[in-house]
Amino acid sequence: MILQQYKIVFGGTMGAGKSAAIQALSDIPVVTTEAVNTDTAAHHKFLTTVGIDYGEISLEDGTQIGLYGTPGQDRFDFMWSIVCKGAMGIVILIDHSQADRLKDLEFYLKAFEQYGSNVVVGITHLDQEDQHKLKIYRDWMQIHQKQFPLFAVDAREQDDVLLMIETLITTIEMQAESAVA
Amino acid sequence: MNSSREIPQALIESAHIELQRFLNTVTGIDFVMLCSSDGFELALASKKNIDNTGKIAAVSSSILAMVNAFITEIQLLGCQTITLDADNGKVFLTAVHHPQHPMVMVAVTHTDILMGQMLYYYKELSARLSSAPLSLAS
Repeated sequence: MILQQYKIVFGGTMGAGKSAAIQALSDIPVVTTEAVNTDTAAHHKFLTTVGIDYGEISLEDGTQIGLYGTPGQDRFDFMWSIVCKGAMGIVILIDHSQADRLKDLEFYLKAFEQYGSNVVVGITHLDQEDQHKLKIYRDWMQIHQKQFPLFAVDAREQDDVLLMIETLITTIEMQAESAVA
Repeated sequence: MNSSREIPQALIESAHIELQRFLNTVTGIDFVMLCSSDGFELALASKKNIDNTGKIAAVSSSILAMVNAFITEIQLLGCQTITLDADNGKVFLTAVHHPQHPMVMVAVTHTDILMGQMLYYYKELSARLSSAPLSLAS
């Protein structure tokens, strides 16, 4: 069995659930760099990531993945290029409860697309009955000719986050196979 | 209740006076800034025109948080100050452990600064800011 080490980065809106997603998925205690959030106008959560989060997960086939979380606020954008170096995939989480969610999607896609093309988008803070609201994101992607996998996720749910990770890995494996063929 | 996390203006104004006094007391300091632990500039005293202070505040909070995570992982305790030694200057980063408002302080100095004097006054300043009266902080 060949063991592989992949690096996956989580980016996106402050409060979208990047740290929660890594906590939900990681097999090891997550390394966190949280500070008290003083910008209560932007979000009411008590702590916010100012450096990186780091966790690890081993999949059933032996694939090992490093999970890296980034700060969401754009004043920390210097961290994004540093953390994304060598990443095989990027998960962008967008907080649906924010009024500027489509602008957020545009902003984070533009920011992170330059670091890699293997991107999935997770929309968080959607109620069950709001699943149809993914349509606004699908429509936006169609208009802007973006073709990234799109999921409604609860960042605290391991299965939801795992689905996004497996999508990134499948994309990489398909690209590798088509390169060989 | 959440608004109590925002740094009060009285604390910022008091800190600004302290930073200015520090800048004038210790020879060889170019710049000293107090930031919130989540990377916002709060108060600044400087002998140079620096236009990216907001970014410096964000980077300072990241560095201190990353180093603290590293220190925890290698099972050391109580890293209070980080010194960076560049060709054309030194940087001192320290946590300000105010009970209500944890903050970060960064100072940039000449290379030939008297380290002992600098660290003595820097730690004294950090301790004073850490124990700023809660009347300023509420």
